[in-house]
Amino acid sequence: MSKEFTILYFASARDAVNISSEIISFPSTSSSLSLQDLTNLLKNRHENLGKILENSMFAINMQYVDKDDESIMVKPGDEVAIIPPVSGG
Amino acid sequence: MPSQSEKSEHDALLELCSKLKDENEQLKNRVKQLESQLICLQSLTNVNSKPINVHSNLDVKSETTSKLRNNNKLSLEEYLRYGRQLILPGFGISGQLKLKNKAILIVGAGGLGAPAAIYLAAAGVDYDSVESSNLQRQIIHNESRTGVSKAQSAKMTIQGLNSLCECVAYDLLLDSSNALDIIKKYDIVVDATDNAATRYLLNDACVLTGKPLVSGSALRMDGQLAVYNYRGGPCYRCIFPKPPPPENVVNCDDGGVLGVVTGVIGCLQALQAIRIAADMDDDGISQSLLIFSANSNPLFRSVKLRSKKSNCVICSDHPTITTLQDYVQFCGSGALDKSPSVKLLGDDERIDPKSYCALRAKGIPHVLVDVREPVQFDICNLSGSLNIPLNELPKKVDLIQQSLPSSVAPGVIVITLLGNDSQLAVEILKKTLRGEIKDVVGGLYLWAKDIDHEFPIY
Repeated sequence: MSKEFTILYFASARDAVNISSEIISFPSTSSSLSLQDLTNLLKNRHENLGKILENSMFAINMQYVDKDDESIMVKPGDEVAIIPPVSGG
Repeated sequence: MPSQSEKSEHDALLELCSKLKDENEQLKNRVKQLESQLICLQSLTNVNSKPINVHSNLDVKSETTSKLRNNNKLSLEEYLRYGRQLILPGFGISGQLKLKNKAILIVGAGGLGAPAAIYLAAAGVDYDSVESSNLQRQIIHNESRTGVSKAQSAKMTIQGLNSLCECVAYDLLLDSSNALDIIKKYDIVVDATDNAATRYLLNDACVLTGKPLVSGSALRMDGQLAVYNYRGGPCYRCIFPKPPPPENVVNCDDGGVLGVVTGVIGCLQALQAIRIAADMDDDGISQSLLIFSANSNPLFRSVKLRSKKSNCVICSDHPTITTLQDYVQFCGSGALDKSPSVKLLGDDERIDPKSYCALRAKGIPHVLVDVREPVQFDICNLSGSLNIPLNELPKKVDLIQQSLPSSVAPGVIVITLLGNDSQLAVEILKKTLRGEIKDVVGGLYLWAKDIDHEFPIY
């Protein structure tokens, strides 16, 4: 089984990267990622995403995750949503 | 056959008729304006003794206070009018009575507040008056109300729609000085505002007064819906503790919005408010964030939220925030969704439209870079401009380099719609380009106003 996870981008995150989702392989040495590692990985992939990530909510498999919780890991097959706040109206 | 003279007499009469019609229309509009000013002034003297910003604000609610409370009967008219919802299992007469006795405050009478208010037959607080660019989505207003405050316009519609519903229009800007006093009078608050500062203000005010907050937002093709501070669920700060940096916040004026998107979210806000007001089955109502993406599939996704954050600065058991704050400072931007005038550059790094027009007329060599998104560039642009969207600018500086004329002191002029992003662009370009780099003060908007009245502004 390939070791991959999916990222879903919403609202301004999607506008910044110009795609609504992508499948990413885990770095060769591991099959899980902390949210901090994930943030760094995404920042490296998309330079426009940096600030947006800081203010976004993350959800794994459509369930909110606390970005400060170091015990939370992204695992193969997970779907991670990047959800920045929308404030217009 | 009418004779020639009869014909011209007829034409003259027609012309007179049309003149009188025009005059009549103008006078009607003037009366409307004056009425709205009068109501505004009255509300300023009545609602709050504190000095309030003399902007037209409005705030409407279904009458929440004692007058309508504890009313445990429906009138015959109400049975007939609400019949189709009275027969709904799970709602019924008890739901209707609860609804009747609840007061809902809608803050914002724009794209979200309009449908929410129409469906709730109540109305909201807003800061500005109706403009023609609002009518694309703010269906509570109409052409004849252009210039009338949104609160008053919303109230007019509500009253025309349902005379049984009492509606109070607050023509004021909700801020830290008045929010608690107003919110206290209501059972449920609907956040239909358009800016980060007011969102945090409403969240904190609802936590401090213990009111559920039905939050909706919309921009471009995206919407979000959640109920905060309700039955152990999280507050807005639990989910979004840090406000987005002001330069990342796009408003509907700059980013655009599809009217239907605000309509969908506004209607869903009305639904959530009704569910709470009528005490309907609230299966997890406070535990999910609904995401609406109008241009992807699925259209809706629901994210399961956490419960209250144990270390939330305001809604946890040990809050560090116990009074309302300065939200403009917290968010770095104000409560006006109109683009704030950014001032990053010194005057010597900017050029006003008149001077730039002169520079063009003299044929002084330069490159004009328009940093709006291509979709906006396609609407209108100045001849000879090079389109590089702001977010691609760092990567595409060489495009500008290639276009630079080889004369001694070629300059780069940056332009955008309002003259805000162009300043950011100048800062980016300064890092890699040498020579004179300036942006056009007031952007295309001021260009249209000062130089070319035929230039389309959107």
